[in-house]
Amino acid sequence: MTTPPFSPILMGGLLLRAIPPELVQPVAERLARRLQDRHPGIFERLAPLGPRSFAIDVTDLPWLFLLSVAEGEGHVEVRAKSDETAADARIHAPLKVLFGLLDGSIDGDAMFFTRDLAYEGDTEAVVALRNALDGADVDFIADIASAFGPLSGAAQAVAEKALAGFSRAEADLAAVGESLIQPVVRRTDAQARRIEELEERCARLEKALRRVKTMPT
Amino acid sequence: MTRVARDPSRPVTTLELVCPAGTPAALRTAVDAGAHTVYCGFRDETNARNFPGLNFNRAELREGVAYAHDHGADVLVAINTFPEAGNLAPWHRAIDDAAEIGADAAILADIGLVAYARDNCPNIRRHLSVQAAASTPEGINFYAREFGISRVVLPRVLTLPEIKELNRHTDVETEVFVFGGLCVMAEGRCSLSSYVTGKSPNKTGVCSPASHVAYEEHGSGLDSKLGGFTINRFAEGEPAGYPTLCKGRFSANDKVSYLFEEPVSLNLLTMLPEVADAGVTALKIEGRQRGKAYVEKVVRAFRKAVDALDRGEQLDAAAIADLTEGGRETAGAYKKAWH
Amino acid sequence: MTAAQTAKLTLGPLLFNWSNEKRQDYYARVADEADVDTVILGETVCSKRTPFQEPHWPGLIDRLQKGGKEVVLSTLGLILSSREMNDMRETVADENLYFEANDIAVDDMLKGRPHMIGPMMNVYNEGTLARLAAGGADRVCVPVEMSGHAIGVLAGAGIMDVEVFVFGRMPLAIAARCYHSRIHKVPKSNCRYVCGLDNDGLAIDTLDGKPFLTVNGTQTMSYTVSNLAAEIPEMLKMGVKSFRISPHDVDVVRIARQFRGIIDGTADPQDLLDETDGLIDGAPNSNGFFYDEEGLKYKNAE
Repeated sequence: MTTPPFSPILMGGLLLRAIPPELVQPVAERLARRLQDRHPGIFERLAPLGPRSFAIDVTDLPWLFLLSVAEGEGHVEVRAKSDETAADARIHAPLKVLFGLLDGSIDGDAMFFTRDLAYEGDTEAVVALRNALDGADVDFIADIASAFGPLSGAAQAVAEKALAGFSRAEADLAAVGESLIQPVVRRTDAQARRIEELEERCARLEKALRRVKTMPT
Repeated sequence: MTRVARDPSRPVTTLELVCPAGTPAALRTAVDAGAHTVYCGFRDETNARNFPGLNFNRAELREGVAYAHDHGADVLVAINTFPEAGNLAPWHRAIDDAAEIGADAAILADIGLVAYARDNCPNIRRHLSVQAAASTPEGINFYAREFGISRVVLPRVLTLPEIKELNRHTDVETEVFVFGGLCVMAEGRCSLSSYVTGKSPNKTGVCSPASHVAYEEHGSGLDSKLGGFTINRFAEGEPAGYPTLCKGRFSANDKVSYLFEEPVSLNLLTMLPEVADAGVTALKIEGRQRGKAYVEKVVRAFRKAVDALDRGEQLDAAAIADLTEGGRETAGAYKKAWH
Repeated sequence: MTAAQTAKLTLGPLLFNWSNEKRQDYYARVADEADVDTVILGETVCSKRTPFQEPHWPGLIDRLQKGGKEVVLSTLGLILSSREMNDMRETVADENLYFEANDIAVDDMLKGRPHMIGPMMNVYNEGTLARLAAGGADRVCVPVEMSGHAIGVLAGAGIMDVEVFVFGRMPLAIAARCYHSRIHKVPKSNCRYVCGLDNDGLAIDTLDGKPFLTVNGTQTMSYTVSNLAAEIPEMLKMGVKSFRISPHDVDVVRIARQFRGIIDGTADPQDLLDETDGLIDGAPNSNGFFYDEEGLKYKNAE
């Protein structure tokens, strides 16, 4: 796994840990329905793949979001981080990256090259989800805000302010996080490199053996 | 259909910027960012970027063409895979529909299909796809004489002097790739992907398809795999790439290297004066599989560069560095030393 | 007359850069002993190899024809310079020879003359086949990635004779870059013909030591050895007119004899498959493309 991101949301997440998934579920459900209503194209583009499920691990929040898509419709379930429900793909990324992917302000490929986003499992499904989201012109803040009904104007202002402040705080915290974790990372890296060298030597010997075996007699 | 005419102040020497649109949202983004032309494909095996979640249905293309035309931009439709024997109908229908919807050109690769377009939809311009692998004036002139093609997209294996020489021997407009993923093999003549995954650019419109990709964490790093083969291995923190099979690390004579090509991105931004001098008509940006953020940034930078070139000003390359794979760039075959 | 009696065997162009001596010995033996109907000469991979071979072609053609073989001269797969184009023009100027085109420009030079289309040209369907037939082509060796279903459609279309690549490492890609030069760290412009070091190509491995592909100068080939012996009976029924064996550093006389036996229905394909499995560089047989699957696979017929 990649270095855990130190972000203001992670710090906030320590406080949020006390809130059980059941309480978050209605909010998530409302958001998913909102997304479905406003951008039916997203789930329609995923339909050719057949039913697919995604476990979305927002690395700086204490919950796991299980998104299942079938026949042009999507549903979200909020689970505890420790939940091990099988999913076709598991995606790990900090909230800011996921927001950026949703509204198209961050390029998915570039994100992966720098490894701010990681995933396991069905690559085709992940790529399709990314393409479908990118093709939908989601304005996430407006979409979230509208999910709160009559308060939407105020909610939007709050959300925008929170994201702006969050970007600033994140830059400071990232530096602190790096300096705390780096020495440990370096040590394990060195060990892993030694193991890999041994693995490579084994592979070379196996190959030599294979070539000897197939030598014409 | 109302059609905004091209900006009359635009100099006739202007290089035409041809930009990718994997989705309707990307099409609008490209047009808004200054694309003279966008290219896209139908959501099926008729186009060479048949990736999950991408491309246009008929209604989306109709809306996209209307949006582009309202803003003075052209739309090209890529129908550039090779029709399956005994099943030509989906490809023929794609051409019929692109013409009926009012797209400005069809980008075609298959000889039989170019002939079909000429005979059945003579009003839509015919561009020869890079997948047709026409790399010589003789080859290009064959397509012009027999099928009346207006433009050819040149393979990424030619050098700029070769392109200049080629343009001296053909009246067909030439379009060259200036930014994005780089094919190291002659396009349209590569079966590496189908050898490993059963799916190929020529037959199914995909290369190294995501359905056959896996990433495996091990020890301190990450392996990227295609069809069960390890294509590359990344240390912790090292930028990881997509396992396009010709861009991996392999071992030959017990030495490991990026044998075919490094995972670099093509970028000719700083070479646009030479490209213009080689006599090309249009600049193509690769990346229908990339997101709006990428399209917006690259198109804006290139449009600025093309406009600057028209005014005889210096160009600025810094703007796009962070969008390229692993941050590395190349001028590819356009500079002879690459060979 | 049954289909089996009309199907022919073709020895494809040598894809590797063998020494003159080795090549001369090989073709001398082919002329005298190999049970093949057609032999294709000519350089399809790299124009830098041509000058060493060209002087020997008239002698070889003569010898092969005396041995009862039809001779075809093949041409370059990727033409990049006007010099190469002029060479092609001079080569095909010989009206007495029958040529194989691997590029649309060469096909166009041969317009109005009978000629064949090589497997490096993109012939995937009957529409394209009909256009090429109008230009004079009367035989096609279909691309190696073509499925059995598509082969059946083209063979059944009756537009021109269909040939299928049934034995050898498959040419999968061609580039302006030379991978042998890159591996040996010499510039392509002064390559010292390092591709000549590997008579069956240079196998390359993945990082975990699994054999992956084969490099042959500017060409990239399969690691596996295509062998469609078991599919020949089915292809005969489809109306395939000839089968192509690609030259390797193995006993071609023996391989050709076995393929002939399979075409005639007197030999069991399994015997040949057992013999060729691992014969070249330890590489396994493959036939996946025929079944529209991964080309590197071997799939047992039903």
